Amino acid sequence: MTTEMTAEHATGRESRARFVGSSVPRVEDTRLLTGRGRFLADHQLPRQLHAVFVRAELAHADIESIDTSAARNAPGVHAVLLADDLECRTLIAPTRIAGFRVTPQSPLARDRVRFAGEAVAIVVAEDRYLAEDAAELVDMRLREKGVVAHGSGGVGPALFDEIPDNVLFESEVSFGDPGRAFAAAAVIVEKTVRMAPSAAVPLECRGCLADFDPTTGELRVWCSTQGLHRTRNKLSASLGIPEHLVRVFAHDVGGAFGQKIPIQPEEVAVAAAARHLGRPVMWAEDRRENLTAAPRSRGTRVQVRLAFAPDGILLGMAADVLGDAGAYSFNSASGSTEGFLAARTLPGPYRIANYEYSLRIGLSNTSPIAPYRGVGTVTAQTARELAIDKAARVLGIDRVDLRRLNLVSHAEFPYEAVCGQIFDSGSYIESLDAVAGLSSATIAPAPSPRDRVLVGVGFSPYVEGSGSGSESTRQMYGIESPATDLATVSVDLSGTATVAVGMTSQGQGIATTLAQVAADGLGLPFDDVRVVWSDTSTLPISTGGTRASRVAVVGSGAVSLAAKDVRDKLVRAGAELLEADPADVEIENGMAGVVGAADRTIPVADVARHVLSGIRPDATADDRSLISTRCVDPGATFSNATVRATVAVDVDTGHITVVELAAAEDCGQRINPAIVDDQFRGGATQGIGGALRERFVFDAENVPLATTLMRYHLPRAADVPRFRLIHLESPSPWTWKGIKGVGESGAIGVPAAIAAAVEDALKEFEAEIASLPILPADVLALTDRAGTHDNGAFCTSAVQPSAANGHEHEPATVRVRKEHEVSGDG
Amino acid sequence: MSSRSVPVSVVVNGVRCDQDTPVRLTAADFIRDRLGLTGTHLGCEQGVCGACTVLIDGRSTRSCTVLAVQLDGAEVRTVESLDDRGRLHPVQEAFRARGALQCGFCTPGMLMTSVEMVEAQVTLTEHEVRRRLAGNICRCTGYQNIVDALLDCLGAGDEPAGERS
Repeated sequence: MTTEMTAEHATGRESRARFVGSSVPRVEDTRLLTGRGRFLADHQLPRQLHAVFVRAELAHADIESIDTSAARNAPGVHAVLLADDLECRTLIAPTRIAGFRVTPQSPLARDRVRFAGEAVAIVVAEDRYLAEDAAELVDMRLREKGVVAHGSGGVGPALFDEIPDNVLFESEVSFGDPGRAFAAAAVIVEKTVRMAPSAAVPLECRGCLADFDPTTGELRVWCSTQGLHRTRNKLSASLGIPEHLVRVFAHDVGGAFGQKIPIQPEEVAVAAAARHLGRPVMWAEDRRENLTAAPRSRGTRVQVRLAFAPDGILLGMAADVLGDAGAYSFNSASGSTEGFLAARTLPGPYRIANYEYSLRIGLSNTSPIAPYRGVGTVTAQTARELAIDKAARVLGIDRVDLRRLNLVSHAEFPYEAVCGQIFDSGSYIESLDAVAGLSSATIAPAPSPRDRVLVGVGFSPYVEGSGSGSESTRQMYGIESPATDLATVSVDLSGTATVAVGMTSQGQGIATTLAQVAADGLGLPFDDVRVVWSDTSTLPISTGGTRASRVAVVGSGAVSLAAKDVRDKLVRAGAELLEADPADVEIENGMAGVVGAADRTIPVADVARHVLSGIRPDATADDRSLISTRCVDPGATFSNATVRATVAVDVDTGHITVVELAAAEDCGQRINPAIVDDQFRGGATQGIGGALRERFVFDAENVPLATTLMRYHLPRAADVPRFRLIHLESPSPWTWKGIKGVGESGAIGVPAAIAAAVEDALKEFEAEIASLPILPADVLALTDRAGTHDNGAFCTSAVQPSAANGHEHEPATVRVRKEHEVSGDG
Repeated sequence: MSSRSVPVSVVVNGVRCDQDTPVRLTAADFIRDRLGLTGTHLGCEQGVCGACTVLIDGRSTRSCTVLAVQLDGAEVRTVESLDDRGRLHPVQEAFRARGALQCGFCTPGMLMTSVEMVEAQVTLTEHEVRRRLAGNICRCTGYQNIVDALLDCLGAGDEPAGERS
C-alpha cells in the first residue's frame, strides 16, 4: 500500500508547493473571532425542546424504584423517560481483540447503576430551567452495593454477573529473551508511576440536538463529536433507523482531545427521545455532568524495570501495567486502549531487544474511560524516563549521555522496535542534543530571601505514532484496521475548488491545512479553495474521524491524490484550449500555461468551463467531470521530540513553577508551521495540567468530588511558561511529502520532563516521584525526610515562616492529603 | 420557564432591549437565547472558565453568574459588538495576527477580557498580563499567542520584543 502510494505521487507533474510549508493564516479565525462560530448549543430549531438527565448519585446500586409522576406533571414537561421507554438497543460493539470482554451499556441505566453520574432518566421540557426543575422531582430509590475503587484492578463486588473478577483484559507478552537480559544485567532499576484519573475537559461540553421526521423517517443529529460517520453508524444501529436516513452534523467543536471519539450514550437517549416526541430535543451538557459522567482517562499504573550492562547499554525491559476501564466498556477502543498503549509504547525511542509485560485492565465504579491526548503513552513515558534517570544515578553516567547511548540512531532507520512498530525516520539523538545544548533558562529570583527555591531540569525524548491505518494498527495491535477517510475535491465552473472531508474540526485548522494541500495540488490560489466538513449527507465517509494525529497524514494524502486527479483533467482540457501537448501544460496560481511560453496562459476558470460545459466532441462522460474522491491507507509514521523542562520548587510551600519548556520536535514536513507550534504548545499545556494540576478525586463511596472547575484545576495563563521550540525535519518515506502527525506531541513528552525536573530539583532529598499530578503536599512529603536528617534551618522556615502563614499552610496540606487517602491516589 | 417576570431595560451592543424577563434567567441565557447573540459561550456555568465574559458597564463580567434582571439600566457589550461588518477590532486583529485561538470556544470571553485591559490603556508586563487572564481558561493554545496578542495591543511592557516570536 505504501509503495503504491509513493509511486502514484511520483508520476505526472505537480504544481510547485506554494502553500504547504508556509504559515498561512487560518481561514477559521475571523469567523471565530467575531462570534460567528456555530457550536452545538448555538443551534436552534423551531419547536425545539430541552433535555436534562437525571443521574445516579451513588456509584454502585440496584435501582429499586423510580417515581416520575411528580416530574411528569411539572410545568412545561413533555416527557420523563426511563430505560424501558426508549426504543433503542443497548450499546455493544464486537471486538477483534482476543480475550477482551466488552460490556453492554444501556443509554439509560436499567435495574442497576454502576457509576455516580450514570444517566437514569431523561426529562424533556419547554426549556432547560423547567427541565431541571422537573428533574429534581424524580424520586429514585437505590439500594447501595459495595464499590470497586478506581485503579484497584477490579477488587470488589462484580459489576457484571458474567465478569465475576471485574477483569476485562489480561495478557502477558514477551519479546526477545528478557529473562536472559535481566540475568546478565549489572544494574537493574525499578520505577512505579501512577497517573491519577483525569480527563480531556474540552471547554465545550458534550451535547446533541436531535430531530426526527416521522413522515420521511429521517433523523438529523447535531453533535459535538470527533467522528461524524461513526456517530451516524452507531445511531443507526442503536435506534434501528436505516443509516442513509440518519444525518449527522458537527460544525465547530469546542475542543475534544479524545473524549468525543466514542458515541456517547446520552446522544442515543436524546435521539430516541426526539423520535418518541416528534419534536427536536436539545441536550447541552453542563460542566458538572462533564466532570462526573463524561468519559474520563488515564488512571493507569506502570511499573517498569530496566536491565543495564555496566557500560550503560540497555539490555532489557519488563513492565507491569494496571489499567482501569471505568464501569463500562461497550467498545474495545475505549476500555483497552489506555492500558494497552501504555504497555506497547513503553520501550519508546530506545534500542531495546528484550521486553516483557503483563497487563491487566479492571472495571471500577467510575465513569467509563475514553481516549485522551497521548493515550497510555503519557504514563508509560513518565515511568520510563524517570527509570532512566534513576539508572543514570546508579550507574554514575550522565543522564543525557545514557539516553544518547541507547536511543535509536539515524543510521538504523527503518528500525523495527521491540513490539513490532517500525520507526520510519526521525532525529531521536539529534533532538536530545538540540535541547541539551540550549542555554539555560533565566531563573527568576525567589520572591523573598527566606524562601528556599530549588531548580531542576528534566529531559524526555519520545516517539508519537501517527498516520493510523492498516499498517500502524497491524504493528500496534496485530489487527489491520484500514484508514477509510475519503476526501472529495471538485472544481466548479468558475475554477474555484471545494474539498469535502468527513474528518471533524476541533481547532486543528483543517479548513486551512487541507486547503493548502489542495491549492498546491490543483495549482490554485489559496483563497480559491474551500474546505467543508460538517454534514454527513454531503461528505464522503470517514470511518476514523479526527483522532490520533491522523488528519495531517491521512487527510493530506487523500486530498493531494484527489486534487491531482482533477488537476490532470484540467491539464488535458487546458492542452486542448492552448493547443499544446499536455506534457507541456502547467497550472500555477489559477492560470494554465505552456511551459516556457509566458504569453500562452489562460485562467483555470476558462479551462473548467471548457470541461464542464464546453463543446468537446470526443469527450467521455468522465472527461466532463472535475471531481475526484480518494483515500490513502498510509504507512505507519512516527514523529519524535525531546522536551526539556526547567522547574523551580519552593520547598517551603511545595509550589512548583514551570520556568521553561523547551522542545526539539520533528514531524517531518510541516504543512503549516504555525499550526504545528500551536498543536505542540497546546498539548504541552495539557501535559503541565497532567503533571501538576489535574486529577479526579473520589470519596470513599466513589462519588466524584471534583465537580467544578474550582476543584478540577486546569492550567491557566500564569501556570504556563513561554515555550522554546526547535524544529527538525525527518520526512517519512511512507507518506505524501513525508508528513507526520503532531496532534499529541507535547502532551506525551511534558509530564515526564516535569517529573524528572522535580526529582532533579529535589535530589538532595533523594525524592522519587511515584504519582502524577505532583501536588504541593507531595513536595512537602518528599522533602519531609530531610527534617529527620540535619536541615534544621529549613524545617524552621517551612513550619513557621510567620504566624499567619503557618495557619494558612497547615489546613491546606491536611486537606489535600486527606483527599489523597480517600481517593486511593497515593 | 415558569417564574415571576419583571421588566428589564438594557442596552446591548448599542441596541436598547425592553423585555419582560423571568427573575431567574441568567444574563448569559438572556444574551444567547433571547437576543440570539450566540457568540457568548457557556463553558462551565460555574463562574470559573470565563468563556461567557461580557462587558457590563465597561467591566468584564461572567454572564453565567449574573441574572438578567441585574442588567436593568446597564450597557452590555458582547463579542458581536467588536467588529464592523467583518472589519476587525484591533484586539481581534491582534488575535488573528498571532494565531491566538484554536477551537474558538474560549475566544469571545478572552477577547472581552482583553478589550477591557486594552481600553484601560495600562502598560502591563507579560507576567501581569498572564495574571489578569486568570479568569479565562483556554484548553487549546497554551496561552502564549493570546498573551503575545495582548502585549501587542498594550505595547510590549518591559519584555524585550525579541523574546516573543
